[in-house]
Amino acid sequence: MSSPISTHNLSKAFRRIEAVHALDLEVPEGSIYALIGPNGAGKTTTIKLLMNILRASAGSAEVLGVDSRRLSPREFARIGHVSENQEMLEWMTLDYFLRYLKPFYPTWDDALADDLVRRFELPRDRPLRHLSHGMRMKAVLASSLAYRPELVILDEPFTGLDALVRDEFIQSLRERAQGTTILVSSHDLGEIDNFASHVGYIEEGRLRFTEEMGTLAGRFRQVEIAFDALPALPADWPAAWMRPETSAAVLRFIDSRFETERTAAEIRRLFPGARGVAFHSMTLREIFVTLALAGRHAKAA
Amino acid sequence: MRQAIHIFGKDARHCRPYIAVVVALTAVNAWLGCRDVPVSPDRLGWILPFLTGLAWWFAAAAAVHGESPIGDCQFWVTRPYSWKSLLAAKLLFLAAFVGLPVFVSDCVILLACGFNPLTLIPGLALRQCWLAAFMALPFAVAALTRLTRDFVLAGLAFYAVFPVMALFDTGFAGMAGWEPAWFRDGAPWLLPLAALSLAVWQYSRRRTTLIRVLAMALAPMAPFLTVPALSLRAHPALPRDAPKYRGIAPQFDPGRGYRYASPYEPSGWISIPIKIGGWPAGLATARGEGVSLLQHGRVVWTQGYRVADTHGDGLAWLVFNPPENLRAATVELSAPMDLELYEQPGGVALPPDGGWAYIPGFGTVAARDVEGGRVLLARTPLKPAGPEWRYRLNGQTGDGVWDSYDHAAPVSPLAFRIGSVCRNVGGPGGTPPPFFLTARRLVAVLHRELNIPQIRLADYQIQKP
Repeated sequence: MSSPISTHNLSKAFRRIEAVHALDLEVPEGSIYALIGPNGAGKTTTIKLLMNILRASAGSAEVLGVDSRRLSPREFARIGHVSENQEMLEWMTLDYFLRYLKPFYPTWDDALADDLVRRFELPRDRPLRHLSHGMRMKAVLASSLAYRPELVILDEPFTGLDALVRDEFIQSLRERAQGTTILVSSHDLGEIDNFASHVGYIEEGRLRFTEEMGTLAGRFRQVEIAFDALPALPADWPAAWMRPETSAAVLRFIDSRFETERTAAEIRRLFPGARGVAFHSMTLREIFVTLALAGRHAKAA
Repeated sequence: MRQAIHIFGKDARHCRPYIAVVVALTAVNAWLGCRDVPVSPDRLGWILPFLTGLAWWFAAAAAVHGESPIGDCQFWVTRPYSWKSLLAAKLLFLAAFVGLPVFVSDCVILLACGFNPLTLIPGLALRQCWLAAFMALPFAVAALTRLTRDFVLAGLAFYAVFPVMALFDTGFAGMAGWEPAWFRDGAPWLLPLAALSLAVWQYSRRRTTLIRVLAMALAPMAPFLTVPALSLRAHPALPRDAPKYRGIAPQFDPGRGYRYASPYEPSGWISIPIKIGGWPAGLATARGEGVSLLQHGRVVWTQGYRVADTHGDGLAWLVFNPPENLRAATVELSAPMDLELYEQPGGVALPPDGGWAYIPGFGTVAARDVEGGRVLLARTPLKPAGPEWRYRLNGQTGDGVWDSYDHAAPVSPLAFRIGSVCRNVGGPGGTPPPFFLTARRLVAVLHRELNIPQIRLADYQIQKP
């Protein structure tokens, strides 16, 4: 089977504003793919294009091997879509909501639904409109996992959730991850860090990079160079070295193409008087901030 | 279909309050329809149909807005919903909770009025078609709005145009007979069809902006198309002429001479006696357009005129007020007019005990004493849009011979009250006088011209008694 999600040159413009530009995205089967980016980067628009909620201005997308514009109930029965601002049938109790959804899904599992409701400690007899935001999100997640979807798409699922709910949410996703492909858009990077297997960084509608988490974490390092006397920054400063900062006799920057030998050799070439060099690994949040700031500076320039 | 029924079940559960209101109002309608004296439409009787229509609209909106086809955040958009099932569920809802109650109510009223609904299936089906046409609009408006507030505003904006158009109703009615056939037959259905098409398009494609723009472009045109067509349909599509009507024409009837003015008529006006030849007396009326006076082949004066009808004897007067200088002179008179020809399938003596009497082709009628007088009731079985009926009542009252003017009677699908005919007849506890009702059916409208080559108008001046 091809990738559960793939896009080719996918673009979406709202009048003159281009929300998504020529997006080429491949989400490997079985992966937990985190689509990250600053607010307004085009994450939600991308998901809406994938779900055929919006029409692409150009390009195409395939979801579960089907052109996203032709997604039918048959495909939606294999997809779980959770979004923070989904409008529900607010008057329904959770119990009725689950019973109502059951006939739509041939693979609905009552036992699993019960298990999810129990685990999330959701009140069955309370109308959805009377649930807190966190409970609503858990209710939507329970209703989206109870039929064991092959593909789960989560759009900013962690927004507004407290730490405990977030943990429960992620724990459930982790447990379902076996054999399920998960695409999650978020700017809550602290959670994604321990959870995603792949990451795509989108900014201004453009996919800046997409790679496995391990590779990404491996190629980003914070580099700290100590000097006796701080030298001027060289004219041939490498493009991959981002956010240079100085303080007293220390130079710090982020190397976005870190390889121990190559980076060390480059430092020796550019800073022969360096007294000491340290490499620090980075969290996804730090990488995200680095990329976002670099993008902002480039735009300002 | 299973999915549609599943969604329908959910809607029925959610919209229970709306359904209860609709059913209650329909039941009240049925109860009133079954009564011997239906509620007069000219008093507070309009409130019930208005409230019922309103309840239908809101029930439709509640069902449609349950899974609004508008917006990109609805949960159902990424669930395995088939748009066809969703649309079918909403239509099923309207059929079950608007169409069915009305159908049952119609049958109950017909049974109560002594008609067998099984023999009136085409009429009942046509009523359902009209109801579907009426509901197409709120359905489309609901499909293109998300909130009840928007739904109400859109509905109000749309319907605001209709009363304005209705003001021109008489003008449209005057077109009857001249409009193209497609306009009379097809135009009333165009708006519901367009509305339904837009709703189906919205459900299938969810192109809200585009479809809203289209709807807004079409909406102002709709009343201009629909109101004249409905107005024309309310009037019979009658033959303007046919070979068998060739010999029918207005004739000058000089033998009747001048006439005396009633207290309500101006004296000194000219009143030319005319009769309509070639058609049974009393079954033709004339409607004037304008009278022209000519001297030496040249029009010297022209004015509108009216026809004073003498109620049933087929004799009429052409009444107008020319200048003094033309009265003594001999002039030529030309007066174009429309002749309305009636057939009289039958007349019937109304039972004095208020019982029902049958007039073939029309239905049943009864005269009933009510507080302050007596009313004439009629029950006609369901009929498709047909020719207009008129009735005339003759009777012997306590004060002498009583003779009603012509009254128009719509061919109603159900029982209706066709009007108060007299008051304080016979006195309380007295024996009601016998009444004889004749029903007449309009069969043709002919355009003719009365031409009198030589006439001295002063000879026909209305005299004071």
